[in-house]
Formats: sequence, structure tokens, C-alpha cells
Amino acid sequence: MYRSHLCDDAHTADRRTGMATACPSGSAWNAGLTHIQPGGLFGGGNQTGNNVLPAKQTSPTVTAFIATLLLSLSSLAAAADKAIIPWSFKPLKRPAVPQVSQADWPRDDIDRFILAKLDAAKLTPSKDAPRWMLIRRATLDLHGLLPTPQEVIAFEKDPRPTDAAFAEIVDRLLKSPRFGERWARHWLDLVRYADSTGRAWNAPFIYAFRYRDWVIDALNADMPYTRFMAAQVAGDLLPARDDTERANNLIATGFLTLGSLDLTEGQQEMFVMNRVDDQIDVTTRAFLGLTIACARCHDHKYDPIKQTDYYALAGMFYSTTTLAGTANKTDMGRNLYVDPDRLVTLPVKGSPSPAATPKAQSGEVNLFDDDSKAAPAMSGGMSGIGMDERDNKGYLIGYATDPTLTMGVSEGDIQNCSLRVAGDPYQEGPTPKRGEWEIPSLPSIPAVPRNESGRAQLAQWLGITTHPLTSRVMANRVWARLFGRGIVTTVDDFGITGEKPDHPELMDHLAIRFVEVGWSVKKLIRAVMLSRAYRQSSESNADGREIDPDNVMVWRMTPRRIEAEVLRDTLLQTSGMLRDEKPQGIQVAGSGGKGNTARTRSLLSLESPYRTIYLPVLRDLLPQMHETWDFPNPSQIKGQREVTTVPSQSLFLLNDEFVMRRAEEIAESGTSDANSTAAAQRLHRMLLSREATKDELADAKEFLGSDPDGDTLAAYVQAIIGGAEYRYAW
Amino acid sequence: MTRRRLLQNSGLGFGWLAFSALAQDGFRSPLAPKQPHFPAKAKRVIFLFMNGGPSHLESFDWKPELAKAGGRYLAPQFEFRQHGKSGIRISDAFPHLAKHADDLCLINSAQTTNPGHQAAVVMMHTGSERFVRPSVGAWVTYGLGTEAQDLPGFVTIDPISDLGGAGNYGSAFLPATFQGTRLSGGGGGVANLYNDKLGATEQRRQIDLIQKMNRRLLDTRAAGNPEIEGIIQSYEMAFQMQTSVPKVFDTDGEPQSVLDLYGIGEGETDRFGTSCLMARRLAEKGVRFIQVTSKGWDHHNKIKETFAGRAASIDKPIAGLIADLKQRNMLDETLIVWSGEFGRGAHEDNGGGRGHQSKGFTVMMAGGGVKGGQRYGSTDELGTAAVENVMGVHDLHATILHLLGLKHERLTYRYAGRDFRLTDVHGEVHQGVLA
Repeated sequence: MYRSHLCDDAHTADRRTGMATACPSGSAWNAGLTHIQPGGLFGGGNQTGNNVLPAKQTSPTVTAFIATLLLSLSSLAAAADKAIIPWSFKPLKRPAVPQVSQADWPRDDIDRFILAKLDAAKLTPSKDAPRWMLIRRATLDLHGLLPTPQEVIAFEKDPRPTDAAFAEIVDRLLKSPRFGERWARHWLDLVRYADSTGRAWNAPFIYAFRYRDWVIDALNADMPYTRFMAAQVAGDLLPARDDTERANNLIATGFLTLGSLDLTEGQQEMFVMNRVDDQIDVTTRAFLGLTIACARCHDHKYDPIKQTDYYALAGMFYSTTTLAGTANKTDMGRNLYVDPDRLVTLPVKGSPSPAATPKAQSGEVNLFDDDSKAAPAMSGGMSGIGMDERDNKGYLIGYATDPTLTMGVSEGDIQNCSLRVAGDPYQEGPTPKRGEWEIPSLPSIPAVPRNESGRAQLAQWLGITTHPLTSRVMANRVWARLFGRGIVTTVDDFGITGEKPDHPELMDHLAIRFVEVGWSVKKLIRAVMLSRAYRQSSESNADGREIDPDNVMVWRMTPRRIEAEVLRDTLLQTSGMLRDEKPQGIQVAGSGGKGNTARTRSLLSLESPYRTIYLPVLRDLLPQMHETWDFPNPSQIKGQREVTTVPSQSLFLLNDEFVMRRAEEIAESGTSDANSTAAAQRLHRMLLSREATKDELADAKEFLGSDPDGDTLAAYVQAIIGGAEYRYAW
Repeated sequence: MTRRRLLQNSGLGFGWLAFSALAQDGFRSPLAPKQPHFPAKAKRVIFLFMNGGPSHLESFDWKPELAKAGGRYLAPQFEFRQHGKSGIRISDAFPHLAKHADDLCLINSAQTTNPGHQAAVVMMHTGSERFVRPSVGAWVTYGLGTEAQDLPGFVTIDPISDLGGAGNYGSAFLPATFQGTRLSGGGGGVANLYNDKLGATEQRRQIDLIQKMNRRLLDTRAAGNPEIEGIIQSYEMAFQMQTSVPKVFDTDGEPQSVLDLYGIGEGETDRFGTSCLMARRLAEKGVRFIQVTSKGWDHHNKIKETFAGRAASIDKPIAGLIADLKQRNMLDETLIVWSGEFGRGAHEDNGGGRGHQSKGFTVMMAGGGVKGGQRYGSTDELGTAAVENVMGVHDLHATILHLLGLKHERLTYRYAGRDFRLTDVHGEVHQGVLA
């Protein structure tokens, strides 16, 4: 079944961006006639595109002749392909800042790039959004929560110009721990975060939460992105000043352990190679926007990545021991598929730090020199060692949280990984050396010493200042989150099959700026949010719709549908139920498989008073709410979510108990309102961040009557929540 | 008054009043039935999608030469016997379907562009392996509206969540109301259909307020925003689904003989059988495009066993669906399409399995306007590629639209300055498939 694994999962391309990362894996014919683009050589004559067999019966000789011709043509095409370098592999180039029409509009060079394009298209930027809308937008973007009415009113009344007043708000929002809880979820989408393995057994990842919390903390601490990457790929090899930092580094490597693997896979080498593939896929797509996993069975069909390149990278992970707290069929222990013995042990506070000392590499910022700024303090989940819970047969069903354990990796048997012919783990081909890949135009990976896996060198390489991919990919992700559309719309694919940037100069400007502010994600976000472009109204206009219906050029702010988390969190927030802290320790139970005690389950529900990011993400067992509101499949690498508009969302808002309860709570909080007008006014401020209009007050009066009871008021609250306005960040 | 008309009206209740009220506001549902471009037999589609790439060599493409080929070739794993008056050959893996041989059109010459799952699945559903395009179901519903005003025009039962996910039943740039609504098979249905607190009158009042706010938004801040229009329509639909969906899922009125027809209550056929029965009930209500998905057809290993299992899970249900539609005089107006994203190779892949093959596979059709009892087109003698009457995915889509009375060149939607269509600039209607 291995081929199905590869092509089911390695190519789960972003739906919204539509990037079907074509991977004609496996089939025998594929070695011959390949990849003549639809309409390419044949001018689109045959509607079946690259299937070059003639559509009508032709004599065998002619067929043979054509086949020969095609073979030669296709090899020519293949040769030509090799020279095609994706735009994103080319060096970063500092673009000249353009001249613009309205000198007083821009606040930042970002605005000059935007305005120059709008000028050229004869479009004008939209007016500034009203202050209530701006603070609502910013609070949703940075916290995934609503501003309080007091915050909105304070901003509206602030006598200072918007530049200064808004900067203060953005700074306040960035400083709050709520920021990490919002932006970590973006990262978790990208790294297929889950609290269970999925697939046949779906065993829980009992310590996945530590990685999740690490991401939150790292973002809150504004850990430089280079270090953020390095910790995830090679945290176990990073030097640490103390045990806390070392523990954090180890936890970060949980990144490599969260793959959705079939624990019932009976062939050990297949299991190992599937894991390696998952690690390659998440590393290259999250950080590089490349689908290198396409090259597991064959040279990459589009990008200049050879199968040997894949195995040069595979060797690093092949030399790594992955400890996910799970066992697979071939080496199952007493606890079935959950096995706490297969976890990384964290240093206990105060014990001497085992020195991790990979050799420092020359040049660049050296992550492996121990001069980094303070790492975020470890938090949560460290209390209460108790006993694991077992059922009457002795099977493990509930877990006590052990503060010394985490999912993570360590160096394993150091060895190169032989190429596997057509991806078959048992058919070995030549053996490339770890890290020695030859991807044209990308920098080389530093030489990997004989006794190291090479992950340290890979981490070093990702953070090279002039790396053309890492800074572009991340800057684009930040932009996409704040404007609803990436400059490169295929946020997870910067290869040949991806889209080219709509704004190449702005792309490089942002990427270079990101590097120059020390790879500070917060500083990049701040710069983008203080631009005039971000501050625009989201109102549409006829000119814009006609010339640029998709708002590619950013002539306004695009209204963005709020995510499942934001919907739930804001309802908990406004009903007064949301707590600031996180749940402590392991929140999953069961050991996977069937049966009431074994079944993997969450100990938290939608009703739990925690932010949605803290609810366990169990593969194939997502709450209905998540499914209804386009929460991404947690086995997929998903840099941009889908946005659907379906009746089941309306049904959720009309009938779901969670929504109805929150509406009741919100209604109750306003029992002191003098009359329907006062109630409506207060609720608009609370839920929509603005005053109600005259028309809306008249509607309220009609709906509520003069002295509404609790149920009527709750129905009214629910109507506001159900309205389209609540559903978007405008 | 036809039976369907009666069902529709009696099922509407408040929804009907709501729509009347909306109609007074100048609101016309984009889902209202529309005339086809020309008269046609088929009024709706039931698309049975087999995810993974079912083998044509073990199902509907009889290849006696392959059995003799030897070497690296894997012989067909099942006997093919003649069935019906037409005498077309069908594999022994489908004993129930074989009884309907004279209704089946086996298109042995299907071809797609890419032998990778993701690209091929998305291609089959949208006609484009690379770009975000509306799905076939969305196009059909856009073209014909729906006769069931209290149900979505396009329903998809148990769709796959990966390999293009919601895009496979999405509307892309078409208005959001045309996207497929996902139902869970096996009777699960739709969540949140009931409200314990608000009665229908009260809830209608609440929805009226929501819609008032939504339309105000559409008139001001969100002018021309198709997502807001989609939300407005989704509320009307949601309200009506509260009464219409339970009716579809309430199979209490179905006699045991019908349940038996679909294999409901028998282990391996229960799930797909229930889904097929749902499909029939949705068809009866006038839903325009119904998709049912079966997973697990990617048989790289041991195809004899693995394929047999999957085939058994769908054989009786599909045969039951055909028989049931027939006994209700609905088969001639319902187009049934059975297809995977591609087929499988003639060579042995892993132990006793087959790899992917895009160049030749089989699509099966039955019902509305289809000429049954025939094999149409062919692959070469080993089944490795379509050679006669090659039917690419655009051709398949064009032919499906044609069977519904839609000209694929004329079914267009203007977006970003140009007219888009399901078949892009391709597609040829295969007349040989038509009755």
C-alpha cells in the first residue's frame, strides 16, 4: 500500500489555493512518456492533455513513429525542465522604492509599493477604516478576540492622530499573551499538529501539548524566526544556558514527531520511511514552501529536485530517533500503541546541562553559539505527578502528567539513507551522503560531520541570511494572515507549480525587512499593520470590483471570515466564560483503537472555559463545530484554510447548544438595561464594536418589545451573532 | 399534481411562507428550477465516486489477452461472464450489478491527465487539476437550479476530506449557494436540525431579523459580496432543512423489501446501501446533483482480495438503486455515473496488486438518456490505454451536461473579466453513449 500513502498524503495540496501538486507516482508507464503539458506540444488538440496517445485509431507504424518522436521530444522537454528554476530560488533583491501619486497617503514603504501598483491600474486606495472597525480588525487579527467596548471607545476618543493612537494599540496587542494563542494556531495548521496519530489505531499523542505550548510561548517571546526554525528541526542539538532552555529546545523537536502514521503498519522499514517522509514534508513545506516529498519515488516532476536530493535529506532523519510516545505494530510494548517509555526525558531543574556541542559553522548568525537571548520560560503542564489510570485488564487508559517527559527526537544510528527505487523501502539504490544535495541556485547545506545526523547543519542552512526561500515564505505567510491573500497566493508552494508573486517587489521588500529586523515576527507584523494599506476600509466600490475583483492589488481591506476558534473564543469571551489560563497537563485519554476504555478521547469539550487552541485536536474525531467551520484536516499541512458558506453553518448558529447557551449568558448579563434601546445599544457595542444605527434600534424595539424577557433577549443576541457582520473581520 | 410536487409543498411549511415573503421583497432564489438548453431525458445526476482508482481490469473492461500475457503482467483476477440480452461481459466481482447489464453503459475508454490521486480526483470533480474551479455538481446546479427548494440543490454524501477536500464539491467563483452540502451516510445526516427552545414561528422571526441585518449589510458595507449573498441563502435553506432533512432520513416508511434491495442491515453493504437509499430519496425530492463516495479503491497489493471486498460493499447497493429507481419510473430521468479518479495498470505492482493508470479506465453510466447494454470505446488489448473513442475528463463532463440538456459551451459564468466553463476550451459530447 505504500504508494497510496505517498500520494494520498504527501500531496494534500492547499485546496483554497488550488495547488494540486501533481505527483504521478508509481505507475509503470510513467517512466516513459511524461509531462507534456496540456496543450503544450500539441497545441491543445487532445483534450486529455499529457496523455499523448492519439485519440483515434492510427496504424501501428504511425503510432510507433509518434511514440518515438514523443519520447525524444519529452526527453528534450525534460532536459529543458532541468534548467527551469522557480522564481523563488533566485536571490533576494532589494527593490527600489517607487515614486507615488499621493505623497501624503503612505506611512511606510509597504504603502509606496502598494500605491504604485494602484496608480498604474488607475485605482485609488480606499479611505481609512473608522476607528471602531480598525481596533476590531486588529484585535481579531492579533488575539482572535473582540476588543472590549471600553477599548473601542477609548480609541475613538483618543485625540491623537491615528498613526500614534493605533501604534499604541498594536503594541499593546502584541505584548499580550493572547497574541501567541492566536498566532500559534496559524503555525499549528501548518505543521499538522494533532493530539493523536489518526489512521488505523488513532492512538493519543499524550505529550503533544508541550509542543503546542512551546509554539505559543515562542511567539509571545518573539523568538527570532531562525531560532524558532532551528529549535524545531534540531533543538536537541542546540546549546542551552540552563535546563529550562534545554527542556524548551527538546520540546520544540516535537515538531518532527506529530506525523499521522499508521501504527498497524506491519513492515518496519516501511514505517520508518513513512516517518522520514512526513518529517521531510513538514520541514520543507512549512519553512521552504517546497514539496520535496514529491521526490520520494522519482525526480520531482516540476521543481529541480532529484530523487537523490530527497534521500540526501532523508539520511538526516533516518539518523534520528523519533520519540512520539507511540509504538507501532512491529515493536509494540506492554501498553499497546501508547508507550510512555518512548519519549524524550527532560532535564530536571538544577541538574548539570549536558553540553550539546555541534561544531559552529562559519559566517551568518550562529545559532549554535550560545549567545541567544532569553528563551521563553517553560510553562504549564508541570504539576501533579500521579498514577496512570488502568482498566481492569491492566490497559492504560488515563495518564498522569510527568513533568520530565515530552515528545521529541534525539540523534540515532548515524547513517546515510539509500535511495529507494520507486519509493519501495526494500529496493535500495545508490546512497547519497547526508546533506549533499544539488538543488540549483539554493545555497549548499554545510558539510555534515561523520558522527552527526545533519539536522544541526540543516537548521543552520535554513537560517542563512541570504536564503531565498525561508524569509520570503514566512513574510508571505504573515502578509496572507493580515490581508486574507498571500502576495504569493499558494502560500505552501513556492515551486514551479505555485503561483508567482502578485507583487514581486513588495515580496522581496518584506522578506529583506524581516531578515533586517532580526527575523522578528512581531516586528514584521507591526510594520504591516501600521501601514496605510492595512488601515483601509473594507468597503467595496464599483471601480475596484471592475478592475480588480479579487483585490489582488489591495485597493481595500478584504473582509475575512473568522475561523472556528475565533467564533468559539469570542462567544466565550463576550459571555464572560473564557478563562485566561491554559488547562494543566494531559487532556486526552484512551489508548487508541475501539472499545470504550481504549477509544482515544478528549477530556475537554466545547463547553470547557479554555481557548479553542487548548482543546485536544484528535484526528478523525474533530468536534462537529470544527468541521462546520472549515478547521483544517490535522493530517494536512495547511497554510491557508478553506472558507465555505454552507447551510450547516447557519444551522450551527441557529440551533447549536453552545451558541444558544452563550446567547443566554450574554442576555443575562444585561438584565439591568433600562429598555430595549439601551439593551440593543449595549449589545451592538459588545458584539459588533460599534453603535447601533437608528434603523437597528427600531428593529430591536420591534423584536424585543418594551420589556423583553430573558428568552427574547437571548434570541436577539443570537440574531446578532448569527448575522453576517459577526462572521467577518471587516 | 405530481407526487413530487405534493411532497414539496407539504414539506415546506414555514419555509414556503418565508420564501413567499422574500419573493415580495424581490428576492428570487438562485436555486429556482431553470430550463435546460434543449429537452433532455435526465433531470438529475447520481454520481457514485470510487476514490482510489478502481481497477477496470477487475470490473468492467474484459481483457482476455491480459490473462495470457504472463511476464510482468497481472492477469485479471476475476472471471468475466456474459450477461443480459446484450451479452456484455462483467466481472464476477459484481454479481448483482450484472443482472442489470442491459441498463449499463461501460465506457471502457475513459482517460485522465494525471495518475496521482490528488490531481486526478480534483480533475474528475472540477475539470482542472491545478486551479480552483467549480465542481461538476455546482455547475449543474447553477445551470438547472433545483426542484427541491427546501433542500440544497447539490448534496454530497460522505465526501473525502483530503485530496482537494471541499473543493471537490465547492463552488469556487460561482455563487456560494451552488456548493455541495455534505451529509454523512449511514443515517448520520446533518447536525443541529432541532431547536428545543424556539418554536418555528419564533425562529422564523429571529431569522427574519438576521436576514434584515444581512441585507442591510449587503446594501452598504458589503455591496456585491457573494459570500454575504451566500449567507442569506444559507439561512433560508437551513430553516427549511430542519423539516426537509429529517424526512429524507426517516426511512421508517420504507418497506423491508426496499431495504433488502440495497443490502441495508447486512454488514458489508449497510453503509453504502444506506447512502444509496438516501440518494434515491433525495432524487425523489428533486435534488439536482447527488454524489455518494466510496473510499478504499487504491489496490496496490493483493487486488484479488482487496478489490473483492470493496466490490461487494457497493455491488448490491448500486444494483438496488437501479432496480428501485426503475420500479418508481425514475431511472430514465436519473443519470447514474460510476467512476474513480483513474484506473489501474496491467502490470503487477506489489504482491498481486496494480499501480495507478490514467491513460485508460472505465466509467460506468446508467439511466437517463444513456444507451445501456453496451461497451463504449475500448482500451488496447492489455487494457493499458484507451485507444478507441477516447473519453477524456472534459469529454465526460460535456457528455454528462448534454444528457441533462445543457450545452457545455453555453454553460458559462463570467468572472474576473472572462467567461468560464466546466470544460474550459475542451470537451466533446460522445454521441455513442446516448440512447
